Parts: sequence; C-alpha cells; structure tokens
Amino acid sequence: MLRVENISMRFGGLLAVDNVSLEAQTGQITAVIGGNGAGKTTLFNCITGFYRPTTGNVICNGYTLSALSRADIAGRARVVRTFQNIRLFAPLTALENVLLAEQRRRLDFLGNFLGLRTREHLAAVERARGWLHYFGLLDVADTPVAALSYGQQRKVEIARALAAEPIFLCLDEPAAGLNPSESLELMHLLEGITREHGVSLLLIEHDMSVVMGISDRIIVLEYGRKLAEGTPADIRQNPDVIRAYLGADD
Amino acid sequence: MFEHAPALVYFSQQLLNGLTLGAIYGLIALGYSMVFSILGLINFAHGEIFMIGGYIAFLAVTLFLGFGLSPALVLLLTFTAAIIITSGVGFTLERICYRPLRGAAKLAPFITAIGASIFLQNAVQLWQGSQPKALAQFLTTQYELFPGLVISATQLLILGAGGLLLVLFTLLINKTSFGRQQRAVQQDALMAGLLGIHVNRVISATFMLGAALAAVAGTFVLLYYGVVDFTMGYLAGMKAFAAAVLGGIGSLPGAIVGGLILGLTETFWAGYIGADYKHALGFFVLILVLLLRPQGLFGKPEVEKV
Repeated sequence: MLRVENISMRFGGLLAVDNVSLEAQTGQITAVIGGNGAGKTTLFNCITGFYRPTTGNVICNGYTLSALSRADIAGRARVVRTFQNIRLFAPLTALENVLLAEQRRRLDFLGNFLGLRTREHLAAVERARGWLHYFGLLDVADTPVAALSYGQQRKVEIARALAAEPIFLCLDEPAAGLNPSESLELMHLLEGITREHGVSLLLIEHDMSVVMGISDRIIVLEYGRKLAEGTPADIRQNPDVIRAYLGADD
Repeated sequence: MFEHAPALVYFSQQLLNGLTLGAIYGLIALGYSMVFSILGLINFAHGEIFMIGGYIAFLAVTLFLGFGLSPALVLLLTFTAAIIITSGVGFTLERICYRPLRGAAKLAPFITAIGASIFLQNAVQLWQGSQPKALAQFLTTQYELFPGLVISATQLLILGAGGLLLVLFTLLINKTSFGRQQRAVQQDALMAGLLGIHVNRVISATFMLGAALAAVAGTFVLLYYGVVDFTMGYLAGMKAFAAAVLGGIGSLPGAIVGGLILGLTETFWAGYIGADYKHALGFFVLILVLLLRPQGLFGKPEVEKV
C-alpha cells in the first residue's frame, strides 16, 4: 500500500497542495484526476519524492520516501515514475533503455565485460525483451528511441519503468499526446500490467473518461484539495464532482 | 625500397613518433571528455592526475627493479600500481572537491578544479622534491625496421597497449551495463536516478576510469622520456584539453582523434620546420578548428533550448 499522509506543498504564497491524504491499494489501479492547476502534478511530484513536501509523509514498502535518495526510492521503496513529457535516453536503443532499469543494481565493469554473455545478463535481456514484447515493441528493440514514433516512445518509457520492478508505478498523464485509439490501446495495456502482472498503478489524468474504465479507485482534486474519492461509479454520481469538474449542462 | 628514399624513411619515423605522442594525448583527453560529458565540468586537475600517475610509475619501477625482477614483471606491477593508486586519487578528488558542489553555480567547481590542480602540484613537489626524477636505464631496446627507421620497445608498448586500451575502452562504454549507465547519466541524470541508478557511483567510477587512463599515459611518458617532474601535468593537461576540444568535448572518439591530430601536428612541425613554437602549435590548431567548427570535429552543435 502507498500511503499519503497530510501532504501540503507551498510555493511562496501559493498553496499548491493543501493537506491531501490518500491510500493507493496494492494490486489496484488508483487514479488522481483534476483540471488544470488542480495540483495533480505537484501532488505527484511529492508522492514520488521529486519534491520534498512542505508537510506530510509518503510511505511505501515500509519506507518514508522523503528520507530516501532518488535511487533508493526506486530500489527500496520500489516507487517508479514517468513524466508527462517523455524522458527517454534518446541515443540508446529501446532495448538498452529497458535494460538500464533492469540492471540498475549492478555497476558492472568486469563481469559483463569479460563474460559478455553471463547467465545473469541473458536473464536480464530476456526480461527486458519480455516487457518490449508486452508492448508490441520487439521489432524496434534495436532502434535508437529517438527514431520511434511518439506512441512507441511512450510505451518504451512505461516498459523501462516496469523493468525497474516497482511495487507502485506512477504515471503522469500516460495518454497525453496520443490519439483516441492509441489512448484506448494503452489503457488496455495498463490494465493488464495490474491485473496480469500484479504491478499497482497510480495514474494522473485530466481527461476523466480515459481512466474511468480501468480504475478501481478515483481521487478528484480541485484547487489543491481533495474534492471526492471513491469508485468510478461513486465519482460519476458525486454532485460535487459533477458541478466542479464534469460541468453541469445548464 | 626504403634505402633509396631517405625522405620517406624520415617521414615514416616522424609518423611513428607522432602517433606515439598522439596516443598519450588521446588517453589523457578521454578523461577530460568523459568528465565533461557527465558533469559539464572541465576538470583542470586532470593534468595533475596524469602527473601523479607518472610519479607512482617512477616509484614503482625503481622499487621493483631494486628487487631484481624481470622487466616484464616490473612493467606489469608498475602499471597495476599506477592504475590502482591514481584511480584512488581520482576518486578522492571527486569526493572532496566536486561532489559537495553538485548543484552549485557552474563556476564553483571550475574554480575548485584550478585550486585542486595547484594543490596537487605543490603536494607532489613537497613529497618528491622539485628536481625532475630520471629513470635508470630501463626498456631502452631499439629495433631498426629499415636503415634509419627506428622503433623503440617503449614506442611499441605505447602503440600496442595504447591502441588496445582505446578499443577496450570503447567496448566498455558501448557494450557493458556500466557503459549504458554512464551514457544514461550523461543524458539525463535525474531520470537515471529515478530508475534506481546510483548516479553518484557512476560519477565516481567515471572519475576513476579517467584517472586510470591518465595513469597509463603517465607511465608511458615516464618510459618514453625517462623523466617525470611535478610541473609536467600542466602542459600535458592543457594540450590534452585542447585535443578534447578539438575532437569535440564530450565525444570519446573525438578525444582520441583530437589527441592523434595534435601529436602528429606537433611532431611533424618539429621534424620539418623546427622545435620552436612546438608547444604553441597545438593551440594554434585548436583556434583554427574552433573558428571553422566551434563544436569540434565530432561534437554536436549546441542547441539553445527555448
């Protein structure tokens, strides 16, 4: 379980996130939604240890994230994130990008160098190829990612994050910039990550319709505060949400 | 055929000498380029790391020759000692001088690098005295390939081992998981950290690797010229830096090619025109290249992000 306890984040005079608590259950898909400026990304940055929140704690896998280095957030607390804009290592191939997360623990000079085909190395390559296969990227495994399409790059980025073996994978607007059919396909793949591979997801999305179909639990933010929380069905009927976010028809 | 063409023999001899010098510059230049590509820092203390490598090699050769070991064994032990100890110095330098300044203004580590360079130079002077250290006769065999064309055992070693090292190094960066991590940190250290890569370890390893290459270069210089002194890091460091910029700083093949170009230009200049201005020539070539191609031979033009 990923527990967010009373997070507030203040930038000068602006309180971007105001005392938000939430729990994301293991084995589930949790979505945080809200309009522009609702504090989604700020909250997300606090959750993934990217910002140090003004107050509050985030706890995952028995670790308080604010006390960990970036590498330990991924390695010990096992929380891995992606960004809204794609941050792949452009000159590296798709496979190299994924392998990087796969082999993060080893700073290998000799083993890999002398016995270029150690069993451990082969196993890592196999797992990395497995993730690429899951996203239908095997045929571009050896292509530098800079040459891939935007949709493919997005998938490589998620495959790479998965290779770091997170308990919680946090995705910041994974469908941003994708067309409706690509977006739908990606949501199916994300659902499979949790349902079949057991990796819990925490998603940020501004387009509620994208996540409605796959989320177990939805948290709605408005002006940095939690407006509502519940199952997709609850959220759809919540009068506050309808007023503030979906917009009344009148 | 060579007997009848003294000009060709002379040219070949200069070429051989130039490649030897160029390999040494290339090895040092790699250290500049690697550190620059990962930290955006010109490590001006790198020339001193090279000088320390030369001193360690001098002490090691003297010590092991004293034991009456065979020359091959002395060489092996000397390289091992120089590489291990000098990498340790590189590691310590990064740890003490640069890591605490991570995230500080760009100028701060730059000034620190100059300070570290002065400190290391003076420390070695205090430790080993200000007189140059000359090596007793060691590895002075020469082979005459043709009448007039001579290659020394040291040159063979430098060209052979230096070339091998450059190939191994390229493989290390392009084929191993360490190399992959190094390239990733170079691209986007923040994202690499978020994927669980220990960025500081990769940086430490980069410094150690650069120092190890500099130690090999220092040992080569000791064997080639038979002498080390505590100021030798300054000029060699400046020239290797020029070589790295010439090739395109941050580019590893660029550093090697830049080193070779500089070594060859200097040697041919000295061989055909005269030893005057030999040291200035490298910088003249640098100025020319930068005028015509500011990013260096292999560098990518810097794109201003808006």
